[in-house]
Amino acid sequence: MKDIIWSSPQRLSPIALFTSGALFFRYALRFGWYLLIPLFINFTPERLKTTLIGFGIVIILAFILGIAYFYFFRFRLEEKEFIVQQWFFTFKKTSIPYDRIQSVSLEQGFWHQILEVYQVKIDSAGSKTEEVFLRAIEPKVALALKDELDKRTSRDEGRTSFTEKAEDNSSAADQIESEWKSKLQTAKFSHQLSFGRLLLVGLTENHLKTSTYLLALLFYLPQFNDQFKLDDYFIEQIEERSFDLMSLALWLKVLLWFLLISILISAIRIFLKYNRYILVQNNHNIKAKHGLFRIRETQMKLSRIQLVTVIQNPFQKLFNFMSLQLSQVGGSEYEGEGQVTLPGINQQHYGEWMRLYRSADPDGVSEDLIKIHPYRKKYLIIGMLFLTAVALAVMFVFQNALINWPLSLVWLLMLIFHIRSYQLYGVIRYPDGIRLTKAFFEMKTVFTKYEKIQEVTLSRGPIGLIFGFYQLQLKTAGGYMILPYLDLSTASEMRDYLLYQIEKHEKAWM
Amino acid sequence: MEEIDNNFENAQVLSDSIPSFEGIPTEPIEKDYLKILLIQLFFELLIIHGAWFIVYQIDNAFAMKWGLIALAVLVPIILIRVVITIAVFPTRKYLLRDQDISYEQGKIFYAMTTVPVNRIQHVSLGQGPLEGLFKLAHINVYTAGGVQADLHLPGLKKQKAEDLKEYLLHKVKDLKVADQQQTERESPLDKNEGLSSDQAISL
Repeated sequence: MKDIIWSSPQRLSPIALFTSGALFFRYALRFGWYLLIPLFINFTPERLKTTLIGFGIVIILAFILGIAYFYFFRFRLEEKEFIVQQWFFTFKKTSIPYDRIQSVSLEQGFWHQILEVYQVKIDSAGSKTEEVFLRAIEPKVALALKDELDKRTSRDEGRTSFTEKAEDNSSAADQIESEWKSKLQTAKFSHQLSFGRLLLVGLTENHLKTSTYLLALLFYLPQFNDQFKLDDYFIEQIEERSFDLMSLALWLKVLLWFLLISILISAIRIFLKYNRYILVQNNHNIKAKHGLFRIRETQMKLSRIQLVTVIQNPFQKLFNFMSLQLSQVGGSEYEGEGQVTLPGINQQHYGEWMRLYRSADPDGVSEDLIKIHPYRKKYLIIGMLFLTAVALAVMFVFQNALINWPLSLVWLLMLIFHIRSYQLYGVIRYPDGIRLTKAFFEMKTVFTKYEKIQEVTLSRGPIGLIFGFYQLQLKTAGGYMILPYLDLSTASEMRDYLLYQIEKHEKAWM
Repeated sequence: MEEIDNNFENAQVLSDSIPSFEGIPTEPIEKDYLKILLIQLFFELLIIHGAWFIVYQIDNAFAMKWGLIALAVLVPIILIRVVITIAVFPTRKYLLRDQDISYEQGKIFYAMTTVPVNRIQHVSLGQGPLEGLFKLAHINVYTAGGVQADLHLPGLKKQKAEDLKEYLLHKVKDLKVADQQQTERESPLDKNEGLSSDQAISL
């Protein structure tokens, strides 16, 4: 392949005209989907015609933006930084010093695979918005760019570069595949998902959210009403405040349907997202690749990990596996940005990874730890009373057996989860970091090393003022860790201890 | 079997010897800052009334009906905020120690944020027009991972704010130099395992 002069401005592949146009169309749909609601509520041919015309205009505008995006986009590699010039209504020049680049990943969405191009994603330290996408690049240029950036960011760990391999006639996809195979052989730690485990991960997802979306969407469809005869039974009976077993059976039938549909949707989603999952850890780097239609490739340095989160719901506990999330600089615990997820990992495998992660620190392997359970019984009782008061208030307002029976069930479940959250809550102070375990429906364990903590906030709200609840918020560059239900003396003592640990450490946070 | 590091120390730390906030007096911010907060609320009132007056000029009936309802809701909210601002003002305090800076405020919603000096990325000093009028300024302390200031310390005399900024930047620089020297030496014997002397500092 002809050598690329990286210091001169490079363009994207002309396919970027299409991929960026499609992307702008997707953005338009994401922000304007609610404009379609009137069409669903009252469907008329006129409304359909107007909607289709609207769609046409949005598609044309999106592709005009795609053309402008391709025309003005340039990137180049200078001596000390990576420069990107782009236009999106205003001209923007982004300079990323090589030492700030955290990861360079090659991604392939559905269209990228069909059109045989790659999207290059460059993550830099700082906020999550500081990342650069090169929307469509020809495979050999993409691989050469990744090589060059890895070299300049000193992340190249002596592997054979893609450009050296490019002398043979194998395709870019084959080269990437063989690269992953060799990584697997030399990995200190690896994680892969079998078909059965992938299916289990999908089936044991938390379906509550999916069910709620489905319920909200389908409730408005006339066909749905016809199918379950909601008008005949529910609404009439809610208005008349009457109750019969037939209605309860119908409720259960509807809920069962929703659960089955949401399980199916989750299973498909997980199957598409985590298909062909490979994660390898070599010395100080983690690399992961997964996806059936949209292939995501992520990498992060171990030293950039800010928070380690383990999530396990009761169904996953039955099958003895959990999900591990690693949040790096610029990521967020809640938004899924800047994260690497290890789904379907078992307890033993998790322990193995944690030992490897913490063994970089001589203190980390020590078993000298302090376990505390600062969640007092007082707060457990206050919470139970509060839940009961809310349930009674709702029952008093409705005074309807059709609502009150399921509500009683929900109240009972909430009480069980509340007691469970009291039992499982705990904070462990290790010599190298702090770990918090809390639970409601699912159990969540968050661990952070002391040197990763940037700021400590002790706070309380009006309920805390009455009952003496305080919370500690520990901010890292990859998200927050919140320790709730503390009394003032425990919260203050823990704050002082954490500050002592942060301030005495001379270790770099990143 | 891993080689044992004979220089590794793991001395016991007694919880009593950890530097505590207890008993260290926090410093209140300048009282003139209360005037600024009240003037800002007065401006909000003025804007609401101005908006109502413009609507009144355009549509008399609409302003008399809906505009008055909006005023009846918004004006008491601002008056309540005036009361809360005055009541909460004495709780706005800061504390500068050798190794960290803290700011606390609030009665019903209480929060005390502490930023260790060795985590500070940069410090900025700002002065709005109202602050300029009262010769006050504020400083923002930034750590990693966010675009917003992690600690916003308002209501400081301009000179004091400048001193504080200089002091913090100086401390950060010193720590960076110490870090570099530490990395260069890379000897476990040089580790200072003693407790940090976290004494309150008054500027």
